Amino acid sequence: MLLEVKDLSVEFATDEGIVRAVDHVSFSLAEGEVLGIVGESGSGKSVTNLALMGLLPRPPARITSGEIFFNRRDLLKLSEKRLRALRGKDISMIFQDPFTSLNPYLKISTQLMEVLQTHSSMTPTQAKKRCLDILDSLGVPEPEIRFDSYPHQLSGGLKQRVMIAMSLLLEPKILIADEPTTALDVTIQAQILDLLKGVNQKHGTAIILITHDLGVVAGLCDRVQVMYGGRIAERGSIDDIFYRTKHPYTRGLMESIPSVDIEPGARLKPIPGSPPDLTELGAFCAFSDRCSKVQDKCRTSRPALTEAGAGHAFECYFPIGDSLEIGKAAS
Amino acid sequence: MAALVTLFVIITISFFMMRLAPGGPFSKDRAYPAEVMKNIEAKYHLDKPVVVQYGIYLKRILFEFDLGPSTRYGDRSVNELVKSGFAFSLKVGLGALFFSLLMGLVAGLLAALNHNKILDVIPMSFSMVGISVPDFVLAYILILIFGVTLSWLPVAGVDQIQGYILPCLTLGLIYASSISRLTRGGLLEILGQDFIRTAKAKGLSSRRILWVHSLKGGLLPVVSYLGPAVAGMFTGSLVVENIFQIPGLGRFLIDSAINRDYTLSMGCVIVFAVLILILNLVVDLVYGLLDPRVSYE
Amino acid sequence: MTEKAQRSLWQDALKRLKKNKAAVFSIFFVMGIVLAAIIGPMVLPYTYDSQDFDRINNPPFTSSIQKFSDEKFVDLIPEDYALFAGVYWNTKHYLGTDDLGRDLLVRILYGARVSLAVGFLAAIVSLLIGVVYGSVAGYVGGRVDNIMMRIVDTLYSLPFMFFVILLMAIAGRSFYLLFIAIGAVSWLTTARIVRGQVISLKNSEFIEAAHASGTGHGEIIWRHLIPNTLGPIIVYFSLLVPRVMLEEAFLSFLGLGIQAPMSSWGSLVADSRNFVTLYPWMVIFPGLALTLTLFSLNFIGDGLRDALDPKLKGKQ
Repeated sequence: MLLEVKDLSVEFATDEGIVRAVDHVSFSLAEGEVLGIVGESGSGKSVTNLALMGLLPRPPARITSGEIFFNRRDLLKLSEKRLRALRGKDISMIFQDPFTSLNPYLKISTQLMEVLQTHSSMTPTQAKKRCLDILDSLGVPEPEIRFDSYPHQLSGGLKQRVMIAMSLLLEPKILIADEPTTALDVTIQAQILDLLKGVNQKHGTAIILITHDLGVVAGLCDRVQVMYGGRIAERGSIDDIFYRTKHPYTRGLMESIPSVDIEPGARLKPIPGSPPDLTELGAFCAFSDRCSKVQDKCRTSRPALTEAGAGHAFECYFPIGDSLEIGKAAS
Repeated sequence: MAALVTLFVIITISFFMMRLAPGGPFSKDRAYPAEVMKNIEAKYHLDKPVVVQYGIYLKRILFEFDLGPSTRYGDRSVNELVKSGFAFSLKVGLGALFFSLLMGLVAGLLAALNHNKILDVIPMSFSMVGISVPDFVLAYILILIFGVTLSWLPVAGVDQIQGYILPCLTLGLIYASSISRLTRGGLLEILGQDFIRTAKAKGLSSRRILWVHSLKGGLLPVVSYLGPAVAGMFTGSLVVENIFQIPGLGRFLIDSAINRDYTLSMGCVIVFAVLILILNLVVDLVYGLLDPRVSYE
Repeated sequence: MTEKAQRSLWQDALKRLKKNKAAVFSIFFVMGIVLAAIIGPMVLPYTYDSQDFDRINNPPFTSSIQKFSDEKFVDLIPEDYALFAGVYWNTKHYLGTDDLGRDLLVRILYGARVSLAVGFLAAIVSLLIGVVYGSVAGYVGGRVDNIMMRIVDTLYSLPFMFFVILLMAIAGRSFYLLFIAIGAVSWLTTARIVRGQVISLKNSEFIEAAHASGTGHGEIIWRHLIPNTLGPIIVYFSLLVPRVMLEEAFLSFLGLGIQAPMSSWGSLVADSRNFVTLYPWMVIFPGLALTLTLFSLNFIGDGLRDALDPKLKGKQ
């Protein structure tokens, strides 16, 4: 196992109370695997990954339990200095909005080269060549010119490619992509996702893809983890999730995707209710107030993680019995 | 360029103000000694129509840099007087700029890096005071503390170099207050941006993040402020030269205003204005250097 | 935006303002000064120009009457002073007297009247000019707006103080001219702010509705646009007053503003500047009054800005 997250819990101290953003979550990532983490805003998906990289701002955030093992070392116990050595080199992260994630005051060259200067002993010439090579392999046209430009001179898609290049410079073992396509047009989305797929296949880089869009997941991931209210609702392989759905929330997500085959005039099926107030969650099922199958038991104790087959697990007392063909996820 | 337009406007306004001044050399009641009038008539061709006079005036200022004779000191030209005063005013202005940048930037930096802790609260409280205190009040407070009670520094005159400390400090402190608030605000804003998070995710050291990634953007508000700040420091030098008895341009301006030496007044106004315009241009250039998104003709 | 929603916006802002202790304190302070300025001179036994040649240069307090008289060549009347906690306090003139024996406290209170009056009046003049200019420019838009703003830009880059000085020198020192001159100098930023607001409001739906129902331009400006720009205008006004007061103090200090025997705080400082090393209280007390008032006004301005637009909080 490349990465093992065990029983992670993260709390935030806010004016309205303590927010349990991540509540006893465990998962693992194998070498070369693409894991999709799906959930609404507030589900804890981003916080989990920021915790991984040690990027959570603490004061407000506190890690109240858990261990994160990478290379047999617990990341949560590493000093800032050691963590910094890992970041950008063994574990990289790309963020949602390429428009704000690049420093507008510095050239692309500076922002790329500094990764190599910090983590490797390449000479400037070698470093520049590496940058240009990566930009080229990611399909950036005329990489020399882009290299010398400022971020505002590039389009959104190009900026995101630069971000991806930045994260791949040192061939990290894990690439965490936090909603990499949310801020981009649909056509560019497809290109970026293809890029990521290529990276995974050519270099064997494991990818954690965070998204709220099941469609994105279907094309790219090997395994999926659905999060809700800071907890894991369900996780398993793509087939498990799409064809052997167990958790009502997962099914709700899939049913709410508009499909091309819907009859005109048919209504969309959103999940009723609104996302949970994270200060109010406790020893009960987080999804209970929106679930159509809810029973008393769900409101009085929190379901434990139950196995349903190799690698397929969920937290629910009354999972979906027979699997129903939910249909194609829109892409 | 806009700056040239402004220059023209200034010169024109000054010209017409001078002509309208009652009791001035251009009004009917000429109360000036004969030699002064002789000078003026020679220079300003008072017998020619107004438009021609204006043209001559413009030409003389722009091409020959001749600001005319002083109406008070009959035998001395405004150019002479301005030259003598300029050196002093420049020293005071630059000294004030130096102090204000030094104190302001350091205070702002400290405050931003220690957000909401004691090193943030103290400088910001001081800066609140600094913004409200009028320059002459601050000057007298400093005089009373350092000049009278402690007797460390001379209270007036700039024969010794120490004489410059109190005046520059007075002006510097006031502008340092604004500069420190702007620096703090600018830096805090940058530090909260997404690209700082990216920089951290790349494993960069906090030193690099501060000096390379944050400073350029963080200083932009300060740079914008420097335009009006420098103008203010020159205006403020009027008070400071007045209190500390420094024979600079500011002193000439005030005295000439009170004594109705119009040519000298105008000369001072024009020189000050040109200085401020040049410095504003420099500020614009620096801003353009810092922010690559700004493009120039 | 309906009338009801607007009212609760103000209530919201008021609530936020009340929480800001510094601002609340400052409001009370300024009210206190205004009260003192109005009532004080009526209650105190001196007028601002009543001279007493037996009591010139009397300090408000001193550690030793004899030492003071010897060192500063001033004859103090010992009966005037009461001993308390080892210090002699002046019971006839609480803040001391100036070089003509005039009571400093009264002069400071009169000075308060003048400085505050000039400050508010000039700020109002500036505000009126700015609001009208800005709303017209913003509302009409197009070439007219362009030209009007060009003018503002050019004027903005002029070092105005110098022209005011020139103006005062040429035209003499009249009270009205003083605050027209000061007010006329500061309207530029108001105009810019108002224009910005008007432009962003101009295209909102309720304005379109007003147009559609046949409301005339003047009425639209008066009844719809201006009330909605009130927020930033109020904030700017509250920051304008101290700035204008500072400009008046500056001019009076240089001898170009208020003249004796009338006193504003600035001229009070100027009058006694030659004695600052000998009789510092003459300079300190008016200076302190001016500083504290400006301080309070700035806090009020900051507080209003935070209350009306909390998004700006923490940034300059």
